[in-house]
Order: sequence, then structure tokens, then C-alpha cells
Amino acid sequence: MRKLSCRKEARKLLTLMAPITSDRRKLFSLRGINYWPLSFAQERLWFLDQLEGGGAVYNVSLAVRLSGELNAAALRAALTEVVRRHEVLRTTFAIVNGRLVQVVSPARDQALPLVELRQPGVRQREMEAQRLAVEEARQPFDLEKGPLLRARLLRLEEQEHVVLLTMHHIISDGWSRAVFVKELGKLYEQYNAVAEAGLKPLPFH
Amino acid sequence: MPNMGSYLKAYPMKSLREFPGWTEKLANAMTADDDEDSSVPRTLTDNTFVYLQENYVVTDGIFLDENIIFDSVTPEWIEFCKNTLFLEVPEYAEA
Repeated sequence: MRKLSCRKEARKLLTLMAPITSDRRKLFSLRGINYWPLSFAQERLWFLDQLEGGGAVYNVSLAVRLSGELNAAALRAALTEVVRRHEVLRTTFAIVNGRLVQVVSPARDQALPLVELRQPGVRQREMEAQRLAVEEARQPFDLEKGPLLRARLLRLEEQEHVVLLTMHHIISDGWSRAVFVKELGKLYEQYNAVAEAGLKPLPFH
Repeated sequence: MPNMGSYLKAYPMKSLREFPGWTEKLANAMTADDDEDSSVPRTLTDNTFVYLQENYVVTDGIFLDENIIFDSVTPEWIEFCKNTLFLEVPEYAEA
């Protein structure tokens, strides 16, 4: 019964994707807004997400440990700048006029919630950090609503932090993840240097 | 997807229970043994750590709108959070 239902759903979804695969190179405009078609890989991931009901199977998670003094404001500014630079990190996926398209949202400040762990003992804090990392990785994304990138900052000690980054595979792969981390590190250094010089980062528009 | 605030801090239940007007919604605690299929809330002992959110609500877990243990936010509670629990939202998280 479930198989039959799945087949029906799959047929419906494939019908929805058909016009794009036959005319996939064209940009689609509606009321002055540009919508981009999906890549083949994105189409496949969107299809699987719809079929499987939006689980966390295609979440890509990363935990980065940061030892030493951390400027959380500079890290948040760096994250905001990385997301501003890369449209795909601001992209969601919607059906517009019967077509499956990418929707790029305007750049905005990124959230970087700070969780202060104060459990007694390093081991207990490490265990809680691990539990939170797993919990975070298991949270599903909504490909239509987004955002498809989440970040959290865990403070284990005054100078011991873990950044949890989770993205949906539809906007990220192994190569782009490496670029993301590299840019985040470089931009953090810059924003931190600005802060140390007593200057506030300029707002972007 | 549950929501997260910008800042939260872990406290043992015994610190929070020192507040004279403390009450707790035990039924809202996380399920026992991290079992998603279980509906039995875990026991919150004095040594269990829960999270005090930036809006002074206490949650068992990091999400702002899930597993709410305490939400009777009064001026006295806010004062207790600031003066006894030393909750101070960092400047960067306030923006």
C-alpha cells in the first residue's frame, strides 16, 4: 500500500519537474523577479526530500572546535558575510507558476545563538555538546521556507567553543563546505582585527 | 523546526529552585532516555541542567518554544535571574 502511494507521489513529482528538465537552461521571470532552474543534482535532492517527507537524511553537519579567546560578534559578522557572498546559502526552493525554481533571498544578519554550557566537569560539558550536535544534525530543513543553513555556538569554557554548522545537501557539498570554512576563518580574522583596532564593521547593503 | 533564541545559559535545577516563586511544568520535560517514541518525561533532579533563555523562560533543551519548564516571568524572577543567577545577555546577542 505504501509502495503504491510512493509510486503515485513520485509520478506527481516527476510531472512537476518535467517542464524544467526540457527547458532547464532558461531563467524564469515573473513580475520582475528572476527565478533560476535547479541543477540536476538539486532536482534529485528536492525530489527525494519531497518523497521522504523532509527528514534529516540530507543534512550536512560540521562541528568546528575553537580554542582560545573568541570574539563571538566577529564570528557572527563573518558568518553573515559568507552568506552574503554566496547566494546559494540564501536560496530556497519553491514551485512558482507550476515550475520548480530556486528563490534567492536578500542578505541579512545571520543568527548565531550562543549556548553557555555550565555543567560541572569537562566531560559532562563535552557530553552535552555532543548531544546538542547530534540533536542539531537531526533537525530537518524546510526546503521551501528555509533557511537551509543553521549555525550555533557552544561555549564549553571561557576559551573553548564549538561552532555547529548544519546545511542541507541541496545547497552544499564537500567542496563548497571547505570553501565555507576557509572563508569563515579568513573573514573572522578580519572582523576580529577590526574589533581589536576599536573600529566597528561597516554595515553592508 | 523549533526556534532558538540568541542566547541561553545552562543551570542546575537546584539553582532555579531557590527562587521563592518557583514552579515547574514537569510534564514538559524532555522524554526519558532521549527516546523519541517515549512520551514519559524525564525526572528533573537537583543536578539536572536546564536552560535559562534570554526571555527568562526556562526550557529543558535549547529551543525557545519547546519543553518549557517555567514561564511565570515576573519582575521578581527577572531580578533573581540578574542578581542571583547572574544572567547577562552578551551585547553581541542582543542585536
